[in-house]
Amino acid sequence: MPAPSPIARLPLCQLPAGAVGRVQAITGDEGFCQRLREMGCGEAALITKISGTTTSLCQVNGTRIALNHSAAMNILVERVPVPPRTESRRA
Amino acid sequence: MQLPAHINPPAPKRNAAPARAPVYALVGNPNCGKSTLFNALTGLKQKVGNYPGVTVEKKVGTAYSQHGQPLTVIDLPGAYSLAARSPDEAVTRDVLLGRRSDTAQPDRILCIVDATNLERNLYLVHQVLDLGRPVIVVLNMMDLAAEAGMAVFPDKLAQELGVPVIPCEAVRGKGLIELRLAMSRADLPLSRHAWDVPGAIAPAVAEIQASLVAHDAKSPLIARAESLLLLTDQDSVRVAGSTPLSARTTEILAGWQKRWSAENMDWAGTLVSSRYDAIGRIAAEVVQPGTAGQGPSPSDRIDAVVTHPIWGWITLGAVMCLIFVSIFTLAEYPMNWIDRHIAALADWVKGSMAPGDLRDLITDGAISGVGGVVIFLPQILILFFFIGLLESTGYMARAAFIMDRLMSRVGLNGKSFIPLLSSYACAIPGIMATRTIEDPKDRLVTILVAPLMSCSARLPVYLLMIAALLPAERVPLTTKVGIMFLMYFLGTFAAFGFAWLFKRTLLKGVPPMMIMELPPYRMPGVKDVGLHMLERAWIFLRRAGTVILGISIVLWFLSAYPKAPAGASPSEQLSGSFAGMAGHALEPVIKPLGFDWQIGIGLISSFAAREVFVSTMGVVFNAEADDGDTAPLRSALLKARWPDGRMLFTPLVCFGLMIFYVFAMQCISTIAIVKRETNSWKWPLFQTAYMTGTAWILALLVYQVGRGLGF
Amino acid sequence: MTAEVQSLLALAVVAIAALWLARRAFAKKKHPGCGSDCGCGTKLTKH
Repeated sequence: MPAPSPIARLPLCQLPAGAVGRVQAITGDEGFCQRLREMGCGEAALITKISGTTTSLCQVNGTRIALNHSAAMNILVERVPVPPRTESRRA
Repeated sequence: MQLPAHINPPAPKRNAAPARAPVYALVGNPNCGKSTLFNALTGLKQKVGNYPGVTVEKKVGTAYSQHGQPLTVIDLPGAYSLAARSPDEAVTRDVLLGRRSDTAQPDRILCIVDATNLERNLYLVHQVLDLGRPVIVVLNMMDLAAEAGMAVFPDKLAQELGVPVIPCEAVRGKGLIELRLAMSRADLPLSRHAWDVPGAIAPAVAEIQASLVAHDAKSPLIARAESLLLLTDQDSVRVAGSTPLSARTTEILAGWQKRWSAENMDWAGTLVSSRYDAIGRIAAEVVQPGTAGQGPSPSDRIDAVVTHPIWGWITLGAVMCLIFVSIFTLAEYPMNWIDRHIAALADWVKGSMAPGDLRDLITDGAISGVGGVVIFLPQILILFFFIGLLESTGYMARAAFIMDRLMSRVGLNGKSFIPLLSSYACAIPGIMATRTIEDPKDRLVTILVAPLMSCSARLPVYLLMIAALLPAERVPLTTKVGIMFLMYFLGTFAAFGFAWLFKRTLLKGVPPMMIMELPPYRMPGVKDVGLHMLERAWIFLRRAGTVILGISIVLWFLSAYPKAPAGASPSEQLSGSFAGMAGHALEPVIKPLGFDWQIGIGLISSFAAREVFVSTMGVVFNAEADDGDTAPLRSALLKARWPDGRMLFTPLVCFGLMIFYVFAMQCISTIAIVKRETNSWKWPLFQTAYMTGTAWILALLVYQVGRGLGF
Repeated sequence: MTAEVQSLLALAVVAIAALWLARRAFAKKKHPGCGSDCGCGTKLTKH
């Protein structure tokens, strides 16, 4: 995986609606990180932000998930210019 | 007829048929159609119970194989992973690992998989396959996958995993015959699927496995699965009734964890990603991702409105309004009908029996007590109809999403809203629903405030008080609905307020992280909602016919004995009775609220259940009414007077009583369930004290301020 | 039916109801749970 440029990294809550991000890192509570990975939102997963700044509504792998602010702050994503395919799949 | 490939492979006789009926456990992610499948398999032959120690529903049903042989099916709570993060997931994990003494380890496992989201669902399947039990994978929602343009190949999945895979549409009952055939097989193969545990972890797995076999009496296969699990179990959620690990194993585990954290190695992440790598390879073979349907799905289009920052709130408000307006308008005719028939029954008994105690017991005790409660059946059914509808369509999760922002203000998250919303029906299922909340402090706060949400048992009290408050028939409906809405709002507002207070004082904690799946919208299952309503109607009527009947009879006795001297008026009789004495004893405490001893009798008796207040009023005030036709309770209340001739049920008193019932903890069942959930008497007692204390203070404020303002 | 007989019968019914309620409240539950008051369960059979 190419090293992401530091500017491109932003927390999921700041990803604009409609944009697609690739998860770069997950921080915070270990148990929560693991659950995110287990639900397929781990590193390298593609997340489409649908709406929200405090509570985020996202689409991952064809599933809609809601993340609250403290969760979305801990997911660092790299914005992917154009979705390779709307039906985001794990790389 | 040629059978599908998975039905009849020439498997070796590894697992000879067990002598007893095999026990199947049903596992799967939340929202994968597990309950629908369970209902379809077992029909009405299911028994619901609880796991002692934790209130997590345990459903056990009997399904029949194609040859009529009974099969026991246990429905387990939905889970994303066996590394549990909440009490309900912990129960699933512990049953599957044979850690529970109350449930034998299942012989076979049915894994329900949502075909539209195969990868994530396979994660749990992957963990389950490690358990070394025969597994049948049920590929549910094949129709939805096809609609999304995906091609899913069950045969390929069966080949990859080495277990039977049954494509299925549980909602339409498709695939059930094949599933029953597979379940009837005496020789289910064990999975051939092998995946490589990452090299760095392998020694740890081996050591913990050996210790589990030696010190925890586990079979080697289960021990391997459990050791893999223990390594990914961050802070193992423990539930009462499950066997803890032996000291030796705990020690070895801690040793490895210490070593890895010193080496700064993310062993849990490594395990998850190596599982996902294996799953990714399988999914690539089995699923052809959708090519069609790149645009927004109908579900997406609905979500664009109902999760919108403005429209979402409007939708939620409109839904709540619709529910309350329906409760008043639609229920009117059946309620009048029930009312007429109950009155006619009482009059018939009066006409056909000689005067005497037994006649009074039947009319003033049994009929007016039970009748006073039964009349609210239509309204309660309407409430449950709507709650069932919200649950089965998938709107409930959206409501939680909308509410998350508000909930975060008070230090909780959106997940706490679902238990609170269910508490509008009844606090008990609401408190049970808190088992999905991961953080123990958040869970406790939610349990503490859930009974403040106005439950359906308060509905009869509110309705009676609204009827007494606004006696005129021409009072516009909006006023009645408005007052009702106000009561529900007050309860909700108080729940949030107290949650805020508790999160800042008693149960401080970091803001919880929330991840919640929003299931796609589904057409509500008319049958499921109908069954749910029928079940509720039956429970309500059974309660009216048993507990409330019993209380009404005893209450009649307490109000009719000791007998006053001949010639005493009904009110003198009641005043001197046992019930009257209790009411008089309570009167000093409640007089500042504008309540007299007769209302005091109602307050005492409604500790059994809130709606008993209504039946008590029926017994107390009908005993007072002149011995003519049975008057509706409402008019009886309006005739009630203080000894000095002042009206008892003034609008202010009615309002104060409603306020009292919004806040007071008047429910023994809830106290019992909170005791069990929190495993101590401390919290239910605290809850009763803070709620009833608040109720008293606010009712006092309403009455005294109202009087001061001249009402 | 005379008033006395009615009183006796009524008292008998009251006694039965009171005993039943008391037994219900104090009986040690075989399967502890929330009972079945709010639809979360009927009795569970051991399997």
